[in-house]
Amino acid sequence: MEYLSRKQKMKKISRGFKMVEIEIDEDACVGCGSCVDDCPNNVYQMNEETWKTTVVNADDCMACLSCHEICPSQAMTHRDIHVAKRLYIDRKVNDVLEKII
Amino acid sequence: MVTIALETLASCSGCEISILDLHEDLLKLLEKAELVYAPVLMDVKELPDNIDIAIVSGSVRNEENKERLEELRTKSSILIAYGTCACYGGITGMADLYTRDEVTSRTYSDNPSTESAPLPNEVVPELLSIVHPAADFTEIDGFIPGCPPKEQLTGDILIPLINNEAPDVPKKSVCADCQREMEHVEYDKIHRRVEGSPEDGKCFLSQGYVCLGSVTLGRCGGLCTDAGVPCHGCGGPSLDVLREPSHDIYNGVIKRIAHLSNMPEKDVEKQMYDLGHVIYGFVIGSTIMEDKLVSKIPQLVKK
Ligand code: SF4
Ligand code: SF4
Ligand code: SF4
Ligand code: SF4
Repeated sequence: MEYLSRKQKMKKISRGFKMVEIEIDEDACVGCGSCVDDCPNNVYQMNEETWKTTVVNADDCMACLSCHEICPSQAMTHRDIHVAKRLYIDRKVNDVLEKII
Repeated sequence: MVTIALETLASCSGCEISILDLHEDLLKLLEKAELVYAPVLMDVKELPDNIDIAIVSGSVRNEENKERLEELRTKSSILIAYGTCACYGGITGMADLYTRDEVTSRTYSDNPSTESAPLPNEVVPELLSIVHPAADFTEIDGFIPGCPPKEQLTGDILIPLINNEAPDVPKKSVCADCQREMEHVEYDKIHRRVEGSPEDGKCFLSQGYVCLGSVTLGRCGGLCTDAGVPCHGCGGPSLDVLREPSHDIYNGVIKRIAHLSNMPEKDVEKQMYDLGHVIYGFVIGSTIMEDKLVSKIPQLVKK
């Protein structure tokens, strides 16, 4: 029987749903490399010349959004991920969030 | 013509001045809109009826602020909380580090630089027990944080609004605009702002100074960090911090310092100082920020 680690299982499950697309806002990236250190699946690598992050392995992304948590400048956007599980289900907070212009 | 009213509650007037700072863009605004009420600009005392867009700045600190805000709500179609005080309590919220009696006695009876006087019991409206952002008392249609919101941002929001279009402005943190470079540098000491002189071009966090840029809604262009001063969070919490129940200004900054310096988070925490001013200076009045389980605000405020 094939042994799968928890991480691999998660990947398999999330892949089963949808592939993730990741966009990087290079102007926003401050080059700290935190996403490279924190991503459990080695999705990112620093570009040695520009010293900005690059997505080298989008297929392996399991949409945990650890990179969003650590990135100081909100430089990445993940498309096609299911965000409901991440949303703060607090009506007051959501109400304010929606109204920030 | 779209009618606009500018009302000031417990505010320093910086927000109104930031609207005047639109300079020539003010003319663009006035092509389509009419200022019907703006005590900072004209001699008016009473709010007119039928205001299309009311822009309210400042927090609700006394009975009169509360009454004004309620009147504004009934007389306006769109009510916008403008500035960090109206949105989150802002710097006026730091009064919550003291009790109401401590605040009034410091003002009237126990102030070393003025003659002691009895507390007024007429004309001056009574203080509420704590400072409130505008949304604590009434329905708000839009929030524009910033202390004050910078004129470029204000123009980019107000001009589409009066033309009945949706404004398209960025909502990233200060770091996204900051020109300093963030690097991993091992260190074990956090410096106060007055200590030493930080290097140009290098992120304050990489040098052991507390900078709130990563947890603060930007759109100021990194004004302070550009001028050599760490961000003190005047734009209010970043949307990530607001959204996530386990995210807070305090733990966000600790986490990043630990990450960059290789210090254990516990050691960073031990060196954090004066949380009421350095970490929560602009959001103490916000119930959203206070209600987070990880928030230190409940330990700081005196009610
Ligand atoms: S969400 Fe971010 S941290 Fe998580 S796997 Fe995908 S790229 Fe890596
Ligand atoms: S964490 Fe954000 S700022 Fe840091 S390298 Fe990654 S994308 Fe760039
Ligand atoms: S933490 Fe401060 S100095 Fe560092 S990149 Fe962000 S805003 Fe700039
Ligand atoms: S850098 Fe921070 S403190 Fe300075 S204006 Fe911008 S948000 Fe405010």
